[in-house]
Amino acid sequence: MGMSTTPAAVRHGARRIEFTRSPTDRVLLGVCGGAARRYGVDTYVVRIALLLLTLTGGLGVVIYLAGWALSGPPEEATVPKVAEPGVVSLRSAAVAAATGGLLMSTRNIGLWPGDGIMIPAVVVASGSALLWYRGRELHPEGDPLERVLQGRTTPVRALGGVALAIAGLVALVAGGVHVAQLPAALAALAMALAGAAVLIGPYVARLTTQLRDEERARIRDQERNDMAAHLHDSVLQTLALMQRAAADPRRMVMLARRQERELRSWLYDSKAAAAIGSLSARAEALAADLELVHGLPVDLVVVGDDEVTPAVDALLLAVREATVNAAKHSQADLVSIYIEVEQATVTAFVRDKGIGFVPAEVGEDRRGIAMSIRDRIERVGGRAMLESARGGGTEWELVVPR
Amino acid sequence: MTARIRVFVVDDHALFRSGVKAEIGDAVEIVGDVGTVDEAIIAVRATKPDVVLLDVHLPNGGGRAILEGLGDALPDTKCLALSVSDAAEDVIGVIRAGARGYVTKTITREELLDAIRRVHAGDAVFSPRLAGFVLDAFAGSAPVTSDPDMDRLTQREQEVLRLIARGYTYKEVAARIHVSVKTVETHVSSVLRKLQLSNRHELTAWVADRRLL
Repeated sequence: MGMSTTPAAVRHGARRIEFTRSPTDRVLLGVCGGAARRYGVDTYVVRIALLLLTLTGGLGVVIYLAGWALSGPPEEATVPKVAEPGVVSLRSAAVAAATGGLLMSTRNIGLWPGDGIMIPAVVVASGSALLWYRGRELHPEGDPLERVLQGRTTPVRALGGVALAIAGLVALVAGGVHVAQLPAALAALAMALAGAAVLIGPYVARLTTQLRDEERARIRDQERNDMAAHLHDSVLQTLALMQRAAADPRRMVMLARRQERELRSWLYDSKAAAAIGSLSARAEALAADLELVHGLPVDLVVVGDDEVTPAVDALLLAVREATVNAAKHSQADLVSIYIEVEQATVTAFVRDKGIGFVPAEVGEDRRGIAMSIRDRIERVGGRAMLESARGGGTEWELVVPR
Repeated sequence: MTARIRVFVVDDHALFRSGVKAEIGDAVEIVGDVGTVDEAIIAVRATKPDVVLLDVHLPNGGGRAILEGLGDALPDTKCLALSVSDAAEDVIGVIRAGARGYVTKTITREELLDAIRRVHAGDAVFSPRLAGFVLDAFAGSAPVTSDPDMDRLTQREQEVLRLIARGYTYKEVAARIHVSVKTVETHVSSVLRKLQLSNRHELTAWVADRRLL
């Protein structure tokens, strides 16, 4: 690419940039490293100078920030993903120094509400920073201080954070309280916290348990519904067909084999089976299968195509159920399935010109429509509409999001 | 009624030809039947039938080769493609070569007779599958050619095609969208014309795409 050899000033057009920050020789942002390289001095000279300026009134911070604002971004280089040992401590120290300097300079300028508030506030902020910072992967041989400050040694940091936060709070509340009175103040705070815990603790615990139980019950319920819907589509259908085919042993054997194969694949690799093939391929297989099993022509038209997402899978299963219903009850001599993939949705129509029925008159025990079609579609965020009249055929419109 | 419609059957399966003859022979006049492209071109020119039932798949070129072989010689002879083929590019190819419609061989006797009459009367015959193919081919982005009307289906045409794809007959479509059957026929004929005349990039690309599958 040649990017690394292009001067930053050229890359950034009209804005004149004196130096670019260093991607490698850096503690904070690489400003010192960049400046040192640009002016040919040792990086530590720049750093110490800035540190001194910071400690004596905070000017160093201002200069550093100005340098950052005026310099160009570091040129692309491989920045080590895992922080090298030592660098983190150094960087932390630099951040601490810069923050301290910034605080001191604001105090010197007079933008300072008073030590009584600000010092406890800083302590509390440090404590909560320790508490909430999640840490990250460090070099395995990093020094212990680094581990406490930045690594994932959570218990140590949590304890330290809590201690700092409580100390800060106590100081804030106590205000002008003398050091001698501190134990008493601490004890009071501890008692107040303990009291609150005793009061609301059981309630919180009960609420948590209840929520978890409800969630578990909901998941169990949904799983049971899914399984019931599947068994209804497959095993119960096959059993019904076998009862009708009692006079034909070969057909019975065929039905039983098919069901066995299907049930096995559903039980042991349902996810793998569902992932195979596109929407159109699955629909073709579905239509062919239904024609074979029910001996009724199925006219399938698919416009567009899509992957088989869980929603599409639910749609196809609902289409299957609607077709099976038509084959069993409608007395029609053909079922038409139309599936169209649109921008945000997939729509399916399943239509027969059979005897039709009045949806309100279907009994509770007819689980097919309620569970396999409507619930299934609604569980994936779609909707199912049924249009039927006695003598006027039946048409399902099923829509699921893509 | 006037004279019976004169029908010619082209299909490479003799069994299917005799089946068709037996099934509709009492309602229309079968003036001939052959099984190859070359025979078909000669025999159709000689007999000048009203309607040719044309198999999409034939050795040496299929229905499309026959339509191209006939050219403009017989302006009053209409062709109806008849196939079990599921290949979209073959079906669209036959339509673009001049067939007035496409029905699958699983069609019932009454529906086939109805289709023959319709084609003879100058209308187009779209089976659900053909309607699906056309919706697929015309789906998507805006047209790119200079004649946008020829490259785009109107809202109403799409609506009609969708209903046909869902298994509605022309009569049912008409009832559903509250228009006359004649209006539905007009829409379908207009779609057929677009299908034959459009040089929409997507259509060509789509056909090419399907051929790869």
